[in-house]
Amino acid sequence: MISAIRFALRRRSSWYPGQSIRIEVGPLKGMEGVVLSVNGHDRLQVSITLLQRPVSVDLGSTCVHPSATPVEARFLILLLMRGPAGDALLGCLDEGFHKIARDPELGIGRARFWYWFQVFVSLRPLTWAFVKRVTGLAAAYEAIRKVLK
Amino acid sequence: MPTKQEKPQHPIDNLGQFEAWVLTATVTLGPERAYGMTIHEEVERLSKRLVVSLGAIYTTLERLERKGLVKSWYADATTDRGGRPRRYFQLEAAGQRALNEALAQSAAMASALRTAEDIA
Repeated sequence: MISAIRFALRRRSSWYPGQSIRIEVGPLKGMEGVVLSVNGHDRLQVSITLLQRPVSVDLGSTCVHPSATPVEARFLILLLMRGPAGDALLGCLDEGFHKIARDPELGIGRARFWYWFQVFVSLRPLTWAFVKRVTGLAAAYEAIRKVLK
Repeated sequence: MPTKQEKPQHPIDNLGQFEAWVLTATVTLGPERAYGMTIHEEVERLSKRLVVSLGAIYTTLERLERKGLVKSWYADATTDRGGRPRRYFQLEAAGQRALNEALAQSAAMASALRTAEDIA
């Protein structure tokens, strides 16, 4: 019981307009939308797409869950680019994801596609940078460059 | 007798085309707005490329920072970025010199091509 209250409190405090969410209970279960406004402590005005039209619904905050960016894609990025730089890159991917998800003409599906696409096309430069770093090729190149100067 | 060409005082590596686009985007955005996402959008807009990956932008900026052409700093974390900070970038004096050099080279190439067309 206490853990359920803690969970609810933790979720409640994190809502903000523009946030992508997924409805977890009720007849709209499984649908994804965007928070339009936070009303009081536990009510959210959410925009969802029904029959290709944006519809605004009022929901309790315990009925929804934040839509997360794809975990596997995040894992791939963190595998190749660690530390603050990797964090900043993931932040940019999150920002782009939420920006697209907020657009009623694009939506969550398109945001997820964009996220995966960006990770996919980023794999080549990130892998090459990772290989150079791990094998010391970058350091060797820098050393040779300094000697030649 | 041919004279030996003098070496520049601060030799700068030639910039690659993508590096030049990234530096140009960083300059046009200014230090208050130049972070990964905006630089990515600006490079796409300026270069008219269909696909520019965020990973390429970040690895290029890291390389430019290692060369001393840009500097970076982290701002506060924001909620729409999943609690992750923005990393802002700004050109160093060496970066400005490298960009000017790249522009001069491009202008020289354009001039040479114009002359060749005139002759033809």
